[in-house]
Amino acid sequence: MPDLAIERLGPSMMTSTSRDHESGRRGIRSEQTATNDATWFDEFTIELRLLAVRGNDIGDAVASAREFLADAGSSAEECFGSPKRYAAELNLSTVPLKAVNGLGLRAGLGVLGLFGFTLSALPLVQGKAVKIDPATLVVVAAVGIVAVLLPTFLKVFVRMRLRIWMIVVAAVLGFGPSIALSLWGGARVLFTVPALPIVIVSTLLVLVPAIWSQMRHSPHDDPIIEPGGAAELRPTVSTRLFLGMMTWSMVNLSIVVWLFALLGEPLER
Amino acid sequence: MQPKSWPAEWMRAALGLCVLRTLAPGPTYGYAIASALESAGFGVIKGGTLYPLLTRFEAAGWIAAEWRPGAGGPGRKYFALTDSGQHELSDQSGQWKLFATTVHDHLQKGPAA
Repeated sequence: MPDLAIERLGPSMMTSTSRDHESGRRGIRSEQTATNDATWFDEFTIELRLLAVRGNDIGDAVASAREFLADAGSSAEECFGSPKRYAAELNLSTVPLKAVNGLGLRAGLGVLGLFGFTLSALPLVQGKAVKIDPATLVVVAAVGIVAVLLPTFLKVFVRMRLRIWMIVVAAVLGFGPSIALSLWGGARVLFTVPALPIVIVSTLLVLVPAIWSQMRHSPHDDPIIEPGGAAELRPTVSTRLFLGMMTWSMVNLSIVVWLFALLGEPLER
Repeated sequence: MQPKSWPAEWMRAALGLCVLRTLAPGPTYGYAIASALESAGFGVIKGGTLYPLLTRFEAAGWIAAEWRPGAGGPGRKYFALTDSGQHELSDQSGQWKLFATTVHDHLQKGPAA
C-alpha cells in the first residue's frame, strides 16, 4: 500500500489556483448540454458495467468526471470523448470474467427453457406428443442460436439504441421463415417427441438459473457507490421489485405459457 | 513562438512526467492539474487524457487519491505523490534531461562524421 503523501504534506501544501472551488465553476450550462451530459453519463456507467468494473470504482470514475466537468464548463463529450473509449482508456480493475459470462449463460438457458414450454405445455395437457414440423425446427434452431450467442452478444444488445426498424427486422427474421414454411407445406409433421421429457428439461432450464441467481446474488451485490457514500442499507421497493422481476422473468413468462395451455385447452374442446 | 498545440506524440511522451511534476508541490485535483499544465504552455489538457494517466499512476502506486468533502456532493478528488511517485519523478526527470540534451546536441551538431 503506497504511503499517503496527502497526510504528510497536509492541506497547507495544497496547490491552489485562481479557479478553485465554487468560484471557478463555470456558470450555467445550457439545458441541451445538460441533457446530452446526462445521456453521456448513462452510457459511461453502462460501459463501465459492461467492462465488469466494480461498483465503487464506477462511482469514483463518474464522480471524478462530474467534478472535472463542473470546472471545465464544457460538454462531457468534449471533455472526455466517447463514453465507450473513455471507459476503456481508464483501464480500471474488473471483476472476474466468469461472473459476467455466467449471467449471459443463465439468461440463455432460461430462454431455451421458456421456448421448451411453448412447445410442450399444450401437448402435455392434451396428452399428446409434440409434433415437430419444419417451421418448428426453424424456430428451435433460431432460439438455440440466440441462446448460444446471447452471452457473447450481450454487450452489443445492451449498447444498442432500439429503433423501430430493428424491431421490424427482428420480427421478419424471427417469424418470417416459420410463417413462410407453414404457408408452403411446412406444416407436414416430420416426427413426434413425447411432451413430458421436454417439460422436465424446460422446468430445469427455467428454474435452476432463477434459483441460482436468487441464492448467489442479492440487491446489495456490487452497488454503485458515490465516493464517501455508503450503499443503501435497504434498496427501495421499486429496485427490489425490478431485480425480482429480472431474476424470475423466465419463470413468470413460463407461468403465462402454462396458463394459456391450461385455460386454452378446455376452450379448444 | 509557441505552436498552437504540440504534436500528439511529443505530448504522449512528456505528459506523464509533467503530471507527476505538477503534483510535486502538494496534493491537488484534476482540473487544477489540467489548468497548471495549460498555464505552463502545454495547451488544453482534456479530462479524457488526464484521468487515464492518473488512474495508471494510482495503480502503479506513484500517486494516492483522496476524496475531500464538498458542499452537497462528494467534493473533490485530490491526488498526491507517494514516496514511490517522488522517486519515479526524480528518476524520470534525470532521464528526460539526458534525453533532451541528447536530442538537442544531435539537432545542433548533426550526425558524427
